[in-house]
Amino acid sequence: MTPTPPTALTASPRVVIVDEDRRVQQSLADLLRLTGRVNVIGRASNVRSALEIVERENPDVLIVDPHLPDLEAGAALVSSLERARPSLRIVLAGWSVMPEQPELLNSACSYVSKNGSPEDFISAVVDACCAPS
Amino acid sequence: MPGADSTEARELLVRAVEEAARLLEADGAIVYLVDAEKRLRFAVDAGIKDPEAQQLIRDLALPVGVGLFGRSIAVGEVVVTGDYPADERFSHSPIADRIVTITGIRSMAAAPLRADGEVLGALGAYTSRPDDFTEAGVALLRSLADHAAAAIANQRLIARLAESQAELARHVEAQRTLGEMATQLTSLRRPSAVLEHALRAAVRLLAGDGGQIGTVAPDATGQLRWLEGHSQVHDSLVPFTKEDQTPVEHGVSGRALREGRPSWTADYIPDTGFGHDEASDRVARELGIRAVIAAPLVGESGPIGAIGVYAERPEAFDAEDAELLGLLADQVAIVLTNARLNAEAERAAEQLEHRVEAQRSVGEIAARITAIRDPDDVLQRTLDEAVRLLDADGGRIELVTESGGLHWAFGHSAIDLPIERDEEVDPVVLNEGVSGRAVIERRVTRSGDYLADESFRHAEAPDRYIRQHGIRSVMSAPLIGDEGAIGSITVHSQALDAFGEADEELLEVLASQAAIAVTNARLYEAVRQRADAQRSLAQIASEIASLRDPLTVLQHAVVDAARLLRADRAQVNLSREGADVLDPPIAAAPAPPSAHDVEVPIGSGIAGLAASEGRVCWTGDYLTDTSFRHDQGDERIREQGIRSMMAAPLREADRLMGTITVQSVQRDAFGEADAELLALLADQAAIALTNARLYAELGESERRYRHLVDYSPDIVWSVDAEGRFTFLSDSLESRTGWKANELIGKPFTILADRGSIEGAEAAWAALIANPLGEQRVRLDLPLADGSASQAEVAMAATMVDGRFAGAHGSVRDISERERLEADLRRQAAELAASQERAHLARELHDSVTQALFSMGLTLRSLELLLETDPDAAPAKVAELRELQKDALAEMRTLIFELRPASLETDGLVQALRTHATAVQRRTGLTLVVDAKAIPRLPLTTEEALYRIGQEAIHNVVKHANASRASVRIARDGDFVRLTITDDGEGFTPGDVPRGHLGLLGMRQRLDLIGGELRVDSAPGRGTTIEAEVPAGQAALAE
Repeated sequence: MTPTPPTALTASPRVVIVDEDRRVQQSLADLLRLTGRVNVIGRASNVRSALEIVERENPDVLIVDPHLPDLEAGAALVSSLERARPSLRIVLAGWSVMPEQPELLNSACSYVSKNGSPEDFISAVVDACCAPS
Repeated sequence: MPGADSTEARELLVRAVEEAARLLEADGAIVYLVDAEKRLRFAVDAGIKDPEAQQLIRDLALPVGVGLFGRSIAVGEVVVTGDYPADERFSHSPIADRIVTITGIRSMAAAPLRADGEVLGALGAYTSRPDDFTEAGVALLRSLADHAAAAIANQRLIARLAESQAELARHVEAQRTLGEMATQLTSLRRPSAVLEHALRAAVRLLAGDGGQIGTVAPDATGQLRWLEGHSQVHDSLVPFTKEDQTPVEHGVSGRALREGRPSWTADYIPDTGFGHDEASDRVARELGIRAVIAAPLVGESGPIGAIGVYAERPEAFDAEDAELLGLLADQVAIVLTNARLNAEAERAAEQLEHRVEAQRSVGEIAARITAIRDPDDVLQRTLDEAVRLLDADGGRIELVTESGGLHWAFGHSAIDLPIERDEEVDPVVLNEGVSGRAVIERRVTRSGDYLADESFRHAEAPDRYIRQHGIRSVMSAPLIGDEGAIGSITVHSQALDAFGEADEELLEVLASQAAIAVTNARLYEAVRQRADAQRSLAQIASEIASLRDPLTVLQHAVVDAARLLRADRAQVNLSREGADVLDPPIAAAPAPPSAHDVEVPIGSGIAGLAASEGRVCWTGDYLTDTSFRHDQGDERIREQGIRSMMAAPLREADRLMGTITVQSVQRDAFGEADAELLALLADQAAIALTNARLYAELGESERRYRHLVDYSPDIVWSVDAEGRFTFLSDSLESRTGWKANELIGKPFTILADRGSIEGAEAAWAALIANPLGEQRVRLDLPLADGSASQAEVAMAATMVDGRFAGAHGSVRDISERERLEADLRRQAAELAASQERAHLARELHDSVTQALFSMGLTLRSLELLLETDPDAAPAKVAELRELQKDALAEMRTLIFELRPASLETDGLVQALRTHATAVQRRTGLTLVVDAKAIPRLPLTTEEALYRIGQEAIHNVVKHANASRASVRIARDGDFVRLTITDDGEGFTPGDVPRGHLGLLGMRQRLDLIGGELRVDSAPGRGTTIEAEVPAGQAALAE
């Protein structure tokens, strides 16, 4: 693992994790912090708390498992944020290979599958978070 | 002169003169009496011999005061002379002096004959000697004179008494005659006979030669004229009549009538005390009439006639005759009056009879009225009766028209007069003519001489008719109905003054009878119309049952509306859902709808108003009525000349279906009562429309039902109360080979095979016992080819009016159903499996997958920490362990929830076999599964039993320490029973810790599906667990 330069640390994106399962929120946040490339500033279990955090913290990136608890709720959240906050980067993290909802398929979001190894998953998420916009 | 003429008086005077001559020794004596003209008349003498002197004495008529005798009478004293010729103390008369000379008289004495202060005459004596009478002789003469005077006075009294006796007798005779005549007269009824009889009596009583009697009456100018009577000449009688019309102003009769008392003349022709006319004078001359006497006949209110008697001699009548004739005249007048009263009484009796007949006729009319429904008929008959009963020449009935005039309605002519006709006669303005006045004044009015009568206003038309046909008398009575005068009934006659007061009454009675009749007839007509209306409504109502076509119903409605409301047109306009106009008429009467008919905007016009307001609306004059909104429909109204219109909405509940409209070219043709009627017709039509629609819908649903029946795989049937087939659907043939018409009328048991009849009959009996329930019975259905097939029959009672009237139901081929059920079960199982898989996937994702994913991330964190911060690794490992425990717990839960796939696909029995085989292989326990064929149960039931079996086997393996166990599944009646038995250690059921062995879970599962759990165990005797569930649920759950 290549050490991250301090400049990059200071510029690390401010990230909010949105996942129905608290265990996934916890383990993902811990791992992302360990990478040192992103700054996890909040977690949410449902659409409403996600919108509150976005409003309050104005994060750079939102990592979203669209099952909130179903795909329709996730898709609605993504669509509304894309329109309301075009600068917000959204990273979808789902269990399928491709987003299951047509809206999500056509969106500008990055998509990362949870089906791969934890190493691949986390590096993909970090890359998506830190990709130049 | 009375008295002097009498023999007794003469003898008295003779004796007096003889006594005077003898006692006074005179030559002679004489008596002179004073006559009515106060002249002295010779009465008797004694001693005069010379014929000349005798003659002179007899003719002498000296006034009182002349001569010695006259002097004595004048002074009332005895007068004496000693030398008559030379005595100058009294006035001399040449004749008396001559007598004195002839007889040589010298001395004379005269004494007055005085009686009761009256000087009757004088008694005197004479001698040829001068100064011959002495004092004594004079005194003697005076006493002789007084004596004679008294005798004469007595004699006169006697004579007068006799005379008055005679007069009395004559009066008695006259009275008797009058009385007799009165009796005879009163027995006479004809005035003419009375007059004749009276005349004859008068001529006889008054000893006349003829006479005349007659009634009189004033003419129009008040002048009296002879009416009728008789003239009598000697014994022949000649009647005269009023045709002569002679005035009664001249002659003695005229004077008597004028003066109101008897009058007479001594000699008619020369008498100028009364007027003369040529005709009467000529008759008087021809008949030699001289004396005439006449008396008036005076009735209660003036002269009614006169009676006169004539004689061919003059001076035939005096005051007494006048008195007598007066009495007779009074008698005649009384008799005549009586005769008139009698005649009137007779006429009254006749009239009474007439009235009785009239009343009877009126009664008959009234009676007929109940039979006569047509007011025209009543009026015509009343008129006919009036003309007949009043003896009229003809009559008419006029009715009050709406414009207020009287219009000819009926005519009747008893004689050959043309009857006036409607078209010939202008309506009489009220107050014109007798009938007009009768109506206006509401009383009977009559005229005895129509054209001359100015007491009412004349109108041209009636006057012309009356003039043309010579009508004189007209009488009219108003017909008064409940709401005032409705017309008049009039009779007329060519006779003058043909109708009287009694006739007025009769006509009035007839008029009121006719008015009642008309009113009743009109009421009846109204009732009949109303009945007609109700009949129509009832008819429409009944037609609804038979008429399915709404158009036919509406056509009937408009025909009825036009007829019942006397409309020129009736129509129905229907509305469409959501449209703001009503369609052009769909039905109309009497003419059908035409291409000119227009739509009706809702809200304007009468029909539009009725549609929008939902009530009956009408107008009496459409085009001028501003109380509603007008529209272009006015043009059509104007074209058709419509004045009145009435419309009623057709509604079903609150939904407008259209309107029914009636129209008339008459003004104010419709009223309140019509509104009610039209509303009823509208309601009926609306009901008809609704029913027709409902019927159409019912027809549609029947068709659908029929379709279902025809295409149902089941055989649909019905039977009557005795269980005989009344209907079998077409599917019978395809299912059984029987034809429906072969089985109709046969008992239902014909479709039960021998072994099934008992069950079928039991089901039938159960259905009759409880008609509200449904019966199902399985039976073997005998097929036409001789084989049989399993069938299930469902039956329900057919109830009519709450009573069992048969049954209906279906016959289902069970083999077919079982295949269908299996299909259904498989589909349901597949669906359930798919749902179960989705559920499981979701559960796995939500719990186990997420836990494993988190474990993966945490492991990666641990790897990183081991490289960078090993001290932090143990905390991460602890986290990881928690996650693993979590995941395991969730897995166990999920696995327990998993159902064996075999349960869904293979059924309970097979699933248990599979499970038992697996347990036997893993544990070595001998497990025997004993299962009879049972019906498939609902999946939940099978799962419950499977779980219970699984748990029980688990308990045997874990706790029983048994060498052998058996699982048995069997149907027992309505239940399916699962029994697990082992030969293990057993236990005391009460001692088993709560929740242990999963017994509670077993009970809970069974509770949910209505089953029961029984546990039979004792230490050393093994254990038996028995779960029982209702098998019927299987069928009902379908």
